[in-house]
Amino acid sequence: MKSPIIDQLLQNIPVEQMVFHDLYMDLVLRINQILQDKQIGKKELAELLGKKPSEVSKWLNGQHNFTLKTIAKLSAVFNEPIIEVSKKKITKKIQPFQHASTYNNLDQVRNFAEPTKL
Amino acid sequence: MSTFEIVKWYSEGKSCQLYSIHIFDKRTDEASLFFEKYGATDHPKRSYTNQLLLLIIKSIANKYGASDDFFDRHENYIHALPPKPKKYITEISLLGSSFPLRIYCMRITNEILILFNGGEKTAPSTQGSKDLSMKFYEALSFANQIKDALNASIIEVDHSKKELKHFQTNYKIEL
Repeated sequence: MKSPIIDQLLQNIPVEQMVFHDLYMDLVLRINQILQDKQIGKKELAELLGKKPSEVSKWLNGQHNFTLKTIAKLSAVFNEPIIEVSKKKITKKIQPFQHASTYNNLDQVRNFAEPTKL
Repeated sequence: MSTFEIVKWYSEGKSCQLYSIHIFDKRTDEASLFFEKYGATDHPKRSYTNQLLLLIIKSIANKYGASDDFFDRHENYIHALPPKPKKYITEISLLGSSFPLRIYCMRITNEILILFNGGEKTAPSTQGSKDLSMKFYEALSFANQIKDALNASIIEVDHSKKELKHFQTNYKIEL
C-alpha cells in the first residue's frame, strides 16, 4: 500500500537531489553516531583537533565550510571511517543526468543513488 | 465532532511502516493532504516538500527506521519533522533551522510511524504560526486518542511483523 501522492512527487525529483539527500543523511547520522558512541563533547573535540575552543565553537556554529579536508580530519581524530568509497568496478556506461521519472521504480533510483558507501 | 481512522500510508518500507489518519469527511488522509498542498507544482515551498518526502520515504521508511536521530522536536506524544540541524555539521544545512515546513507525527516504535498533517512555520514559535498551531493541536488530539487505544489494547503492535494490528477502528474527535 502506498499513497498515490508519494510516486507523484518522487517522479519529479531529480536523481541528483536523491543522491545528495542520501549522502547528507548518511554523513549526519554517521558523525552523530560517532560523537555519541565516543561521548565526545565540544571541549574534547577542540583538544582532539588541536584547535582553540573558540575556533571549534565557530566551526560548530556553522561559520566554516565543511570540506573533504575537514571530514578527513574528523575521521582521523575519531579514528573511524566517515566516508568509504566503493571499489566496485564500474562496468556500465556512465549514465547521463536523469529525472527520477525516467526510472521504472524506486529500486532503480536507489541502485543508482548508492554507488558510494558511507 | 469528526470521525477518523488510521490508514496505511506507505507499507513498502524496509525499515519502517508509515500510517496516517483519515477524517471521514475529507477527501484523503492527512499526510497526503499535506504533501498535495505543499508539493503542488506552483507552490513556492515545493522543493522543501520534496526534501521532507525524501527524509520520510528514503531515510526513515527505507533505511534507518524511526530512530532517535530524526526525532528531536517533540511535545507530549507529537514529533515534528524535519529534525533540528545537527550542530556539528550545520554547514550541510539541507534541513537546517530555517526549514519552513513541519509535518507532525507519532512514533509508535522504530518500525511504526503515524503521520499527521503539518504546515508552514511563519514565526519563531509554533504558537505564533497560525496554520501550524492549528495542525499541532489537531495532531495532539489524534495522538491522545491513539495513545488511549494502544493502552486499552484496542490497537496492538505486532512486533514480529512490525506493524499495527486492529488499527482500522473508528475514533470520534472534536476538532
